[in-house]
Amino acid sequence: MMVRRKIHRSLISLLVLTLILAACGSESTATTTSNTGSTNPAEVKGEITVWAWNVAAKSLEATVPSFNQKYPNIKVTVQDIGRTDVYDKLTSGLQAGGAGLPDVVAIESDRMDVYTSTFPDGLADLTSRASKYEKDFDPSKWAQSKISDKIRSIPWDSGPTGLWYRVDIFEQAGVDPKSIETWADLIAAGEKILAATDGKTKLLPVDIVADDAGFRMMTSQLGVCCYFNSDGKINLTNDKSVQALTLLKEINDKGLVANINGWDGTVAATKNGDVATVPFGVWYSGTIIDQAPDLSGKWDVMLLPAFEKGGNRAANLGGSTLAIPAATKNLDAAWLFVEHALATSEGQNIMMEKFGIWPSYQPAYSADLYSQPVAFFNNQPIWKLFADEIKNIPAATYTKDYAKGQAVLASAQAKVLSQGMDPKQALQEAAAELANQTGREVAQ
Amino acid sequence: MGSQLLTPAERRHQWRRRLTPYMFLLPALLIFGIFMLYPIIASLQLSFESQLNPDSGFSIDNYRRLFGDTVFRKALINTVFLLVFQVPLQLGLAMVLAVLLNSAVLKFRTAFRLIYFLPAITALFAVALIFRLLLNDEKGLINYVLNGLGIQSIPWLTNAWPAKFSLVMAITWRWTGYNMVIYLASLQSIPTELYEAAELDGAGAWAKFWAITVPMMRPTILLTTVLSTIGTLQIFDEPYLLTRSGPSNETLSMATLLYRTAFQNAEFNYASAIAYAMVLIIAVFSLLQFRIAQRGED
Repeated sequence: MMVRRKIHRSLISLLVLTLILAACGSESTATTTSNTGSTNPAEVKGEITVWAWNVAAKSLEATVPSFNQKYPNIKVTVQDIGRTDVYDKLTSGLQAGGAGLPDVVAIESDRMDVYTSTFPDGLADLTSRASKYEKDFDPSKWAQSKISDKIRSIPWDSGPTGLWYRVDIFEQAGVDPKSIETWADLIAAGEKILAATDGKTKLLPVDIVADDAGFRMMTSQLGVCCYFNSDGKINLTNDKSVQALTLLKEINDKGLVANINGWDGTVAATKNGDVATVPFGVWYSGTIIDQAPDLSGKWDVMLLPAFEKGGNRAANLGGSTLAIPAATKNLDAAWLFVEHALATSEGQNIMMEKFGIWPSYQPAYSADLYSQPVAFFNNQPIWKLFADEIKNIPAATYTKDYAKGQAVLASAQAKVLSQGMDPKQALQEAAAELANQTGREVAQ
Repeated sequence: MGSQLLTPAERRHQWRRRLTPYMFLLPALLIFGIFMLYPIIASLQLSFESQLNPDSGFSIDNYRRLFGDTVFRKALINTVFLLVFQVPLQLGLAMVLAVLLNSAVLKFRTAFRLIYFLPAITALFAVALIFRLLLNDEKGLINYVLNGLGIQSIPWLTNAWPAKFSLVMAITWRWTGYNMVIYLASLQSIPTELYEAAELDGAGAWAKFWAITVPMMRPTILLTTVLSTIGTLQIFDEPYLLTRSGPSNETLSMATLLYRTAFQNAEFNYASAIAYAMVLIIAVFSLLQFRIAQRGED
């Protein structure tokens, strides 16, 4: 059996390698120079490739110059190959025993289980190198990187959420952002904005067909994120999940949703004023700055509105880790890169300052930038808002079936928003479907 | 029987001569073996291994799951729906175009042929992108025109039936010209004497089409039907790029489900079972079509 598996592996590796090389026409993905045992940073040599997407890739790229000051002989290539492509290629590469994979790869924290459960040894065991940093990291994030007592990735960023909003459009419609405390307030504001802009500017973007980000933020806020409860049962038919989906339906029924296509659709709507607000994680700040530089001063942020007056306004969306595929031939160089980017204030704060990637590495918070006003965002000290929010975020449960949950929920969302199905019924059907796909029980 | 009469040297020579073609074939066979045969066998084997319990040996868990899987059932129904509506539409349209473009009186025939064939060679990603722009709910050209005519916007890609219709439209757009070219070639091989004789007997255009063109083209029609059937049952690109299988899996096809299972959920064993279910379904459909076509000939 084992022998057959090995032959399997190597042949599939060959296949996948060929496919990947043909697909992206990439240069050397696996160049290597051995470097074990060296203590002098300048002597560590090698060439490593990093996979990430969008702003995550750009921010990692931004740490390379400072990394190369310490380790001049490690050449780092960051490839932005798109979020879903990273996952699809990672899956096939791990299945092929590591063929064609990069030396470092970004994985969203809530997806870690998907990979570590299917490929228990596919990602390098970083325990011996990383355990000394445990005390420095946000404990909830560290827990997501630690699987069966082994550290398989290093927490990168957290995703406290906010409601990004257009100051100028709010003013034009006569809406005072300070008056918005609940989702009902926000809906009323959305109606005013829609009227004031002759229907051009909707309240917020939703990728109705493919992404349930709004639902995840709202359930996180309500403490029932995401899809499963702490016993691993499917947790979708509870009142709070129904409340979240009902709210989305209400916003949509009032004509306040801009139905967008994927990530690019959100970015486009953000740029050209199709939406007055974007509820998203702190990391969206980097995208706004990067993609809409001419809107400097016109964006600001507040916490998500509460479901009822005085209710919780803190939630989490996203947040990632960096992992090293076990098949890397440059483990030392890859580790040094990850260590510099994530386990030093220098690395983390480069990404924070330029792209709003919120460090999970807590010593980084002592830097000045966390209390300073940000010119781009209406000259407000927006980072302080997130720093204060973080401790109020309710805990969440992710499992290896998280990705399936996302797909099923997007499907339920489409049934509700575009076909008018009752939210409760849609969630019951979604729970049944998820049970069918995962063999998990549905929580009562 | 003759070999007994040969000397050992001659026998060796003959053996070598018989081996020669295989030597030349060897590189091709090797590539075929590694890249075609091996994956086919390996995935069959994978489909009979339990994902949860990889070392438990032979298991039919994946197939058992397949039978109870409502999502797979939906994908199957969607795919068959496409087959039933899209293949006759596309082939009928291709036939009409081919007959029209075969007419000697038509001007710019070559230009027309080229235009109809172009979609078949256009990069799919570009096609999907253009269709998505055209069909966008709020900013798409088609809804813009509809609004101008006083008709409400149609949610082309986000509502179940419009999305299915958009898919049929996109696939028809892409493959009609391709089938048309095959029909054109076949039309040109029909001897003109047949038509001339029919005209002497007083047959009209319609009668000529049914009595001569269709029977003469029967093998070609069968070929395109089987090819289109296989192609449709394996449809991946359009639902993946255009509708992203949505909304709510309404345009999920078997192949996009296979991809999702393997590369997004990392369930290679189950994905292999889906693949073999597809093979079986396609084989049955193709066989049926051959049978029906044969019966028609008797």
